[in-house]
Amino acid sequence: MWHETDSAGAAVRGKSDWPFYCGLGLLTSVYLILIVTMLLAAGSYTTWGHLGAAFSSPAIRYSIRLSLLSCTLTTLLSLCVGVPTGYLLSRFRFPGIGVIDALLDVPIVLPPLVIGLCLLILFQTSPGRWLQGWVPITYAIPSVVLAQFTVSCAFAVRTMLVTFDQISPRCEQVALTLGCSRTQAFWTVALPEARRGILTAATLVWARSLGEFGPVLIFSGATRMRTEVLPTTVFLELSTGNIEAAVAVSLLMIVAAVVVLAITRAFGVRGHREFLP
Amino acid sequence: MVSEIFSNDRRRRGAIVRGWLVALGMIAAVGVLVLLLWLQGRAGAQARGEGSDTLLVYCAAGIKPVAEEAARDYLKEFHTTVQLQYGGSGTLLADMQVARVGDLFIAADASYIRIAREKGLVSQTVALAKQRPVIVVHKGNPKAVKGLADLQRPDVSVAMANPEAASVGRVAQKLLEKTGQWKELKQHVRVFKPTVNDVANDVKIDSVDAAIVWDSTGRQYPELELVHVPVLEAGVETVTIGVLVYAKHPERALAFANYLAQADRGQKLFAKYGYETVAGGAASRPATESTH
Repeated sequence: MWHETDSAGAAVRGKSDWPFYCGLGLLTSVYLILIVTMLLAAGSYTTWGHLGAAFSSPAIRYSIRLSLLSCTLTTLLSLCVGVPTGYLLSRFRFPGIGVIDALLDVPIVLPPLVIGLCLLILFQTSPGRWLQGWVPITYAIPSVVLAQFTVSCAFAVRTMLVTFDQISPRCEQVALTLGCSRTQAFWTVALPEARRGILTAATLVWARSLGEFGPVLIFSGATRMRTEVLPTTVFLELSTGNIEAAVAVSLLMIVAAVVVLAITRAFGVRGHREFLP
Repeated sequence: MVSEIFSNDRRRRGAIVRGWLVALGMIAAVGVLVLLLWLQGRAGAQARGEGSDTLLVYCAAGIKPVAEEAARDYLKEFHTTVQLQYGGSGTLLADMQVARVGDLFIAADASYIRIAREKGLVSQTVALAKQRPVIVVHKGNPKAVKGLADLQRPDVSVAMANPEAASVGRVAQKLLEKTGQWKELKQHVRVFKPTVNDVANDVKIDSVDAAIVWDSTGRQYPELELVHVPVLEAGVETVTIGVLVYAKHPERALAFANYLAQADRGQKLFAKYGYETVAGGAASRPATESTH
């Protein structure tokens, strides 16, 4: 196929396409080389000994567990909110939809530190304080999930909105004419069709939460064995000059990211392609 | 035809049930995760030996090694957990005003405690240790940095702590402004970082050649070498701890502050990590006033 188009094009136009292909290849490889050398450089800054020492530290183990648990919970919560919100915005038109659409993008555009600060201030207001009388949030584990959720949910909403936009409402309309209620049409037609989009949203949210640092630092603090997630560990190890442990934990996060990408690919979903607004 | 619709209907109902199962499964999964997180929190609290007695301490990042070890010892001896929150002294000062919780504030120099007192955030204070700014370079001093003049050489790249965020940056700025060297050096500094350790890290991984940090910080890095400079030596500062007005049990907070100042407890740790202690002979030298 490659040869066919190449020779056919060359015969008609009398010009070679090779410079074009070379240009494409060159520009792509520049970025690939950057990614690969970056990973190799990080890898060269640590040894098996450092990795072993890092992963036998109880604080780092705690942060691995907390990261995995909080990211998974964040993912589920984001889907619970993101799927219906995306469906609502995609299928229905009502006054004020433009404002809602814009508001839902705010967490994506706001700098992470600002989100953390806003959350911190929110929970010092009197309703926030009242709530904290029941459940401690600021500087405790719930704040980690809340900080991750605030940012990641916006990505879930965006992904699901695009997903439902790409699914023709025709099938649901047919279901309605056949006697389905709106609820039934959603559960039996729209949701199964959006399966791949949901999976994309889930991986995107999970990976995004794993790397979330700005809001967590401000809103949850950097307390060892309490609100310490993996990016916090990297930060804490760096702040005591233990660069080797910081790199070891970074490598772990790189591996986790690669695994997530591999899972996404295995289910045949092309990364963020469906996410592009 | 009728049977076809009927069977469709049945299949659809099956799918509806599956829809509710999805919803229920989701709720169950969320419940399980919340439970696991709660257990995780408890496990962490137990690992830290946390009971109902917990002190939240805002701690200047440079003091971290001492504070961490002191917190461990204190827990063993008095069964009180000390929870540490790190940052640059200036950053922490801003944090605690927003959060309005916490028991103690360890600042890298007394001026932040003074500011905190002026803002009505701090009641009692205790002096803990002394430190002074020095130049640090990589072991062996490959660029032969001997003094402040060398920091302005074009072949020497310099990192400094941000004067707004970290104590050492502010102190160095004050000292160099007096000698009129600040403006030039500021132009030459390649990067400003938020805490003193970030600056020392830069020298450790060779991304800059020299930096101005606390002597105590420099001593905690085996990869670094200290270059003492008279102008900077003058800037002796006192690591100070203050009891916050937000403290629920100020007497318990003060007890930990005194523990850090105790010669055979906290002071031993400060000495171990390369600080000049206040309990030693140097105590007679008033800290902030000696800055001329």
